[in-house]
Amino acid sequence: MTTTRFIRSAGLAAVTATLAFVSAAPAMGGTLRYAEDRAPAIVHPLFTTSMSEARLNELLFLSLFADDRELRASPQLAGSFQLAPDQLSMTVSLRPATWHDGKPVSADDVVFTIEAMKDPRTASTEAGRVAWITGAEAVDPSTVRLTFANPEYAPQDKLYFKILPAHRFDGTTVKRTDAYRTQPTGSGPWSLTSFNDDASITLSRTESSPAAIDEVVMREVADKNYQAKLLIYESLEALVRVLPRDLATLQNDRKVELYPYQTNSWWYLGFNHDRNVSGDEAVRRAVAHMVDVDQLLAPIGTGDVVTGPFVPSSPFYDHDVPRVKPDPDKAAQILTEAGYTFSGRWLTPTGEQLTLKVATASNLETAQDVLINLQSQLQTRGITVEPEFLTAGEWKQRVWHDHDFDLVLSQWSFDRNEDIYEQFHSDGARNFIGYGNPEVDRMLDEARTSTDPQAKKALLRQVHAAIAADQPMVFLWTLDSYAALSTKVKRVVVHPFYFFTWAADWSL
Amino acid sequence: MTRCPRRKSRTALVASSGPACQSFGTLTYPDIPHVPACQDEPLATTIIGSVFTPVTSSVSRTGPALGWLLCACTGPTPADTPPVEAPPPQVTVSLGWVEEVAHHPERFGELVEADRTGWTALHAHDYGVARANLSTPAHRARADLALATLHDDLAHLSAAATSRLFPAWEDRGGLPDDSSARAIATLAAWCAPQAHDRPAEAWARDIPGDRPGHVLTETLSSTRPLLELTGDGPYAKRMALHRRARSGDTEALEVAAALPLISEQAHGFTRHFYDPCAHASLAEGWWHVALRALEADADPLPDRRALEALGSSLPATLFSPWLSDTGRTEAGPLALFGADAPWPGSGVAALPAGDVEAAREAVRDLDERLDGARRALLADAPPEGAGVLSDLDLVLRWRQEWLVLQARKHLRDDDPTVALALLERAHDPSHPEVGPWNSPSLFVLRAEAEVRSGRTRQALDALRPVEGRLGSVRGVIEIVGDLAVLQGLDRRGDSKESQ
Repeated sequence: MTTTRFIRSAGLAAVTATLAFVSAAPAMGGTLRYAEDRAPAIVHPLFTTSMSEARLNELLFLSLFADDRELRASPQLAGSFQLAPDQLSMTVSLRPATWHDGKPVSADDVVFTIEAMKDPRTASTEAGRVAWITGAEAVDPSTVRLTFANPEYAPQDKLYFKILPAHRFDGTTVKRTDAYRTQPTGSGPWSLTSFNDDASITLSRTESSPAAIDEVVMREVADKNYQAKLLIYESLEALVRVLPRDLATLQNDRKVELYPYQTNSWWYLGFNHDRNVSGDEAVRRAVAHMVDVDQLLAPIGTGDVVTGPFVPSSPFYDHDVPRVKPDPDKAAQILTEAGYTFSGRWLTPTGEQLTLKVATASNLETAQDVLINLQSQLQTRGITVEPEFLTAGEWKQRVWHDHDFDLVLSQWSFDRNEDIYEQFHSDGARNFIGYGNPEVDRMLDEARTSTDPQAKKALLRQVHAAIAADQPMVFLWTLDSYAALSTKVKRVVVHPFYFFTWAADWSL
Repeated sequence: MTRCPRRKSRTALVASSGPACQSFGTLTYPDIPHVPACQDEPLATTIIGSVFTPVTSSVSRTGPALGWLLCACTGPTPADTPPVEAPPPQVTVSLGWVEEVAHHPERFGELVEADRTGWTALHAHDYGVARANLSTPAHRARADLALATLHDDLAHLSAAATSRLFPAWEDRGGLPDDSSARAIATLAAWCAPQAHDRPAEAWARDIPGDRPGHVLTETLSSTRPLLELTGDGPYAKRMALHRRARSGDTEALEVAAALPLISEQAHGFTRHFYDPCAHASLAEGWWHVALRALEADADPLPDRRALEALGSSLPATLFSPWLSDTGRTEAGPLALFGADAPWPGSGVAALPAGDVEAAREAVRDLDERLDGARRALLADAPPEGAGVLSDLDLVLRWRQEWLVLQARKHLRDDDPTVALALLERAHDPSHPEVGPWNSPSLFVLRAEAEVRSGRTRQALDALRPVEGRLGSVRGVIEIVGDLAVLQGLDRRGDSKESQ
């Protein structure tokens, strides 16, 4: 048979052959067990600060709008909407939906959620997501009218925050410690069944849910290496983030598939600007020259060192900003010029030993390893480091609420918009390090209102350079990031930030 | 001594070299069967070791991996055994040049020994170094063809991005009148008319008469191709570079593609526009370079002629997605590269459009078949051939090339979701850079699939590894970046701590 004839005959068989690979209808039932490095401290969309909480929210709650598969705003609790000609208001009709306790989702719930997020006494960590909304009014039980501070071209693109049931709260002043945090009522595909003794959380499919999977179990597994083993041995079906060092192992397992996930993420060492020592510019600059970032990164695996608040693949990354290189002599010069003295250890201008308390997450193997290495590096240079390993609850209280730290070692993850306003604007809800620069504020404000992509790109590249020059943080690295799922899980499409947005379509 | 349980791809090959299992610790976790660990021996040294920069398995390059640690040493008991599926069916898969190398390692040795640096570079997808070090024109044409294909992939990506960027920008706030945006949109629509809903002439009509880009309007209204534009302006100078590139002198345009075509002062910043047509001309140029090397006639289809001239011997197929003769008399450029050949072993000629799960299943099926073929080859091949097969992991290399080719086919068939699924499976994430295990086209096609699936920001992640290998990609990165920024203008971004 000639090649041509062979290909033709293969083509004739194509219809039959193709059918062999048409995916079957989704199976119903089963339990999806996934691992988080650390269990969420609370389940409460008003106070969500971590990705593990955000991922859980995605299973339990709905928003007015959410991303479709092509990442366009698609109605979720909203049924339809109409934008006023002046673009200063919109009317949203809700589709019929029920809370997990059986009560209907109403316009009052939408109004309540927005007002609770905006209530300064609530101090929601998500307040920035509704700052642009000036009013919310229930027109009737299934219609809500929103008004805006400025004309909005596509307000649905911002209505992604989770809606809460008004009937579960006494008013718009919501406390983080309310019982709701452990007994949440949502309207998502799964409801929370139990917090378990082993720090796992069990969710069950609701009666009206479109989800194919019956049960979802989140397991806290701090040890990344152990996570990989659990997946290989089929004690888990999903890992949300795999360390680069584990990729080769997992890709060589025929029953595991890797998915790119959450690549806009970077590690940092943040200085508390409201404290005398860590807020001292000389200390910040000196520490930056004392830290050998490559050496800290090596045990974790391959990654890109970053010079500012964006990852190198970002359109906002200024590639002309140089890395701060390890230079102990330069560090010593900076401290000396600022009045610090060296006598075996560095002493502050008031004669006290230069000591920095560095907080990081407890029960998080990789962060702890980095902190211990950091401690070694700085102590060698004469700065005393006192590591503090905080539980999730302690972290929320001390870092987010009380700002009780000298330095924090942590990671930020951003969705595809890479909006750093909340971290670096002096009004930012996530700016717990207390950084402020009026010029950076101005550029961040301007970038938010720009309608010209090139202008926004240019502005944020300037922001990158300005923040790098200020050194409010030692910017560390970004890692190639993947999720790993068992091949038993079918129809998987992972949302690049929230992960579970389309989990209702998955099956086992 | 006990062999490790079934592994796939590189690990399986390394295992075949004989990992010695000995206990050096006990892993005690409540959810995992109790197994002692094992360690691997150095890989067998083969003739390739003297020819190529040593290439070992990803496992050995990334340190002791879990696969080895889980290897049972004293023989697994039922309770200790990880879940094992039924053994894969015995299948017969013909692997063309892979088999030739395995069975006739002397042919491979003779070939690569003559141009060691060049073939090593081709293996590493380093086409510039390859063509500089392959002494035979016909061999050098392999690198030329690879460059032509890569630039063609970049041209498609550029078209996908510009066809979304300019209309959406117009809709969102209007293209800035005091800029060259419309002129650049005109160029973009001119060089990729099939990708743009709005023709170049329509964009050109809206260029203000006092803008430098107005020369494009005048040229297009005279029905002349833009390539004939002459003069001293930036567009005319650029078209001169395009003409040179299309005739095979690509160097100047490759340099220019990394730099803005137009830089102009806007309100408080400098606006930069990159050439959206650079890679289309570079692709055509490299086809001509290949044709010249092969002393082939360019008409009527340069890509077909080049491949026909290439032949089907080992130098023409080594490291390629086509295993032997690809049926190059079939119509269509992708068929020339073997894209219409059925999936090896299964007879599947086409995957259902848009069915991601089916695509993943097809790849799993392919992997099972390739496992069987690899085992058979290792059993039958002489030791030297088996060594080359293992050390260069040629089955895996062919798998990647095949999946990339199939993904390209799905993109050209307007099926980016299946293309993306195939590319995700083709990608070796343990090697983030372009190299033997990840071709630059893999990343570029992935970026195109991401753009066409609405995941423009992720496309930028895909392109980052390419820039280190091909500087001219900077212009495309900026174009895709503009689109990503535009698509996020009305959003209030979310961020969280990763812990």
